[in-house]
Amino acid sequence: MHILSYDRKPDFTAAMTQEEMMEQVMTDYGNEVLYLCYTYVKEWNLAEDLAQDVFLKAYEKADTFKGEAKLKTWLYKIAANHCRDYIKSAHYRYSMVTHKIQMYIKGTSSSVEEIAVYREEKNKLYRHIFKLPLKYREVIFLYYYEELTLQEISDTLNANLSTIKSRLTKARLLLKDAIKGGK
Amino acid sequence: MEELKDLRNHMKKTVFNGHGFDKSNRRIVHQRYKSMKMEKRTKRRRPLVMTAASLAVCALLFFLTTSIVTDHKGKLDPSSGKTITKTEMKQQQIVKEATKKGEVVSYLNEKWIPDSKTKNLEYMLRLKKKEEQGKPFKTTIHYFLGDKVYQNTIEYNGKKIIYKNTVPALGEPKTYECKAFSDSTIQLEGCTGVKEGYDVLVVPVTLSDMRYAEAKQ
Repeated sequence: MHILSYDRKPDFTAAMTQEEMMEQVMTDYGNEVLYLCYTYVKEWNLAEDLAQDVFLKAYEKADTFKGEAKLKTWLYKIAANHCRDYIKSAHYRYSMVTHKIQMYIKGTSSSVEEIAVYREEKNKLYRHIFKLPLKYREVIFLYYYEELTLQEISDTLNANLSTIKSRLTKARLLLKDAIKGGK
Repeated sequence: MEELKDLRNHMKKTVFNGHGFDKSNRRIVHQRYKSMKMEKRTKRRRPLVMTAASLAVCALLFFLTTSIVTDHKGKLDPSSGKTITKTEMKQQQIVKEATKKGEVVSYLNEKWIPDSKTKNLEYMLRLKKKEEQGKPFKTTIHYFLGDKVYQNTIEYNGKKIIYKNTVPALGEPKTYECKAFSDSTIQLEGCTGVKEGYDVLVVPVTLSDMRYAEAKQ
């Protein structure tokens, strides 16, 4: 069965080439996959590279897509696995240290305007979300932003349903505390 | 947490505003896929003679280099007939002893850390199960990172896990007291001195290999 035989969009025709189909998949889900990758690495250039890798994997693994899951969840699963693996890599750890040093150097020379903008932005919800530990951040994003069900999140992240539930509860508590503390 | 219900709008208006997976990104994916396919095809078509010739040249070069470089450092391995360096000899000894004791040997890669040896994962999963059942255990994990050799110990006394990390690439080298193994990977959670929600890495693995090992058990 082909990857797109199960897609939610009815406008795919049998005459479409694999390239055309992938183009359609990327048009439909490109942004969502990119945003998901961004929540992991918090850096746009890197997130774009990772999203490209995700679609490349989808291209390669198209034949293994069984259609039991939605195409969206299947893509998220590839994305979550790829981004988590990347975060564990020594390359990422090294680049994070370099980035922190650069930010520190840059931070010492911030203008008054930049500091004012930062203060204004500081209390925005997304800032608190991005400060959460990864395992809570991904659950919050998939549940509230991507609007996946708990079962779908459990499948995507390969974790027990009860674990996902408790992570979501804990994440909400942490966010509540962070917002209270920030205000 | 009312704000969370409107997270989609909030994110689109703020952090995601002006960013997207655009046409150039899509074009790059198509190009990368095409060149990948092309590479596979050319590899398949490469004539056998050429491969054989290049293999012969490589073997000759390898023989010459190893004989020059390792003459003063290593010795001949009688089982394989190859010359091995002192570091390799030391590593072989560690592997031999570790295998005898049934301990894990993890080969870390400097660029891409995950070490996905199914045997290791199965062993670690067994430890995880022991911890879940409240059975105490103590073991040493050996790590090879380039020429360096590290040894970490992990012990469960029926109440908590004591993990001594000596590998800087895995996290701060020190002794951690942890509550349990993390849910889906070989990591420890609830460790002292570590920020809440963050786990301590024991054996780096990819999630797909982890699932494979879990299914095999």
